[in-house]
Amino acid sequence: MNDKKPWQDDLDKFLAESSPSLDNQVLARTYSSLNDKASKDNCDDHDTISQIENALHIEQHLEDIGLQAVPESLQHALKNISNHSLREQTQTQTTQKNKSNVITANFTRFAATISTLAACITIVAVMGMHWLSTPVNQQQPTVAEIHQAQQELAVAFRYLSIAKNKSTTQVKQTINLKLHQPMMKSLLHPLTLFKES
Amino acid sequence: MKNLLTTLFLLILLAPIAQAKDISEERGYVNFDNLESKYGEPKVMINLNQSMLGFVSKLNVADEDTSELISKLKAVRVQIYNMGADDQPALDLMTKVAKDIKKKDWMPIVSINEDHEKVRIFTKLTDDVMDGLVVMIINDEHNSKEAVFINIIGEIDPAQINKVTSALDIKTGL
Repeated sequence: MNDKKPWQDDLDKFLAESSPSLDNQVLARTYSSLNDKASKDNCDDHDTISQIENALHIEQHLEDIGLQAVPESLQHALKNISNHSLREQTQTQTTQKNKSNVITANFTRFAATISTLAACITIVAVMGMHWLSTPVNQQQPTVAEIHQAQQELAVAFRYLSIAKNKSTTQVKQTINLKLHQPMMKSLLHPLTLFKES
Repeated sequence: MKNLLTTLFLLILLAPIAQAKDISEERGYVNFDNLESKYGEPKVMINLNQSMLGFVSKLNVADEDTSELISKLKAVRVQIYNMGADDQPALDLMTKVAKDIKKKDWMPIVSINEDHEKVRIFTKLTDDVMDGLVVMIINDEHNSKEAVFINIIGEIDPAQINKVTSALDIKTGL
């Protein structure tokens, strides 16, 4: 356990001074394993080790830099990117919605018109039914008007009676002339002949 | 929206006109051309509709048969013209109407062709029920030269005509 390597002290000191971040731990582990390998295989990988040392060094001072104010131009450019991205996303969503709801979109546009028309038809139908149940002309005529109508009806029926009587008379005359008289003649003729003989 | 309100208003106005059944659509209806241009105003012009006949029917409740017969009528239309010397327009109209209604399956039941008198009676039968009657008389006997055109629309029994005339018992001067 006392075989501490010369780089071990530097590393321990570095880890004690720096924050125990994940990057630091990864770098430290890599640095440790590289040093172990170099000592075992007697081969120097100085370049890699020095790069990791630099990285550790940068990592150590990175927190000292802290947060830096972003230049205004960069901030503006970043906002533009964000806005553009949002716009594209919204457009895509709208297009997809329109494509998937073509009928619904048209219906929504004419929904007010259709609703109003339906209401109109309903009102007219209801009022029509009301009017149908109470005919337009059935507005309670006066007694004088009803008597006048009765008289007109009597006139109409009187003319019908005249026509009927004339027809009946005509039919009777026709039957008498065309049927009754020839029949009587045909019956009487043999009788007359019989009498004469 | 304004257009819709206008449409609604018009529909409400026109609805009763559209709903009231036109008498000319009835099976027993026959159109007589107007002879006013030839003979002047008709001597008698009667147009009784179903509602008025309904009231007359209620007025004759004492005689059930008469009341029932009148209640079955849908319209009674009479046109009587004084012909004067020229009876040709009336004869032409009679011929035209007879020709038209024969095409519509009206049945001629009486046809009288006397020198001074022409009578045509047609009936419209539907399922053995008479729902239309047309009587046309052209009479130029003596002093009464008149043309009579009668159209009864609705169910009617000819056998009851005289009875109804007696039941109505009104002096008509005929």
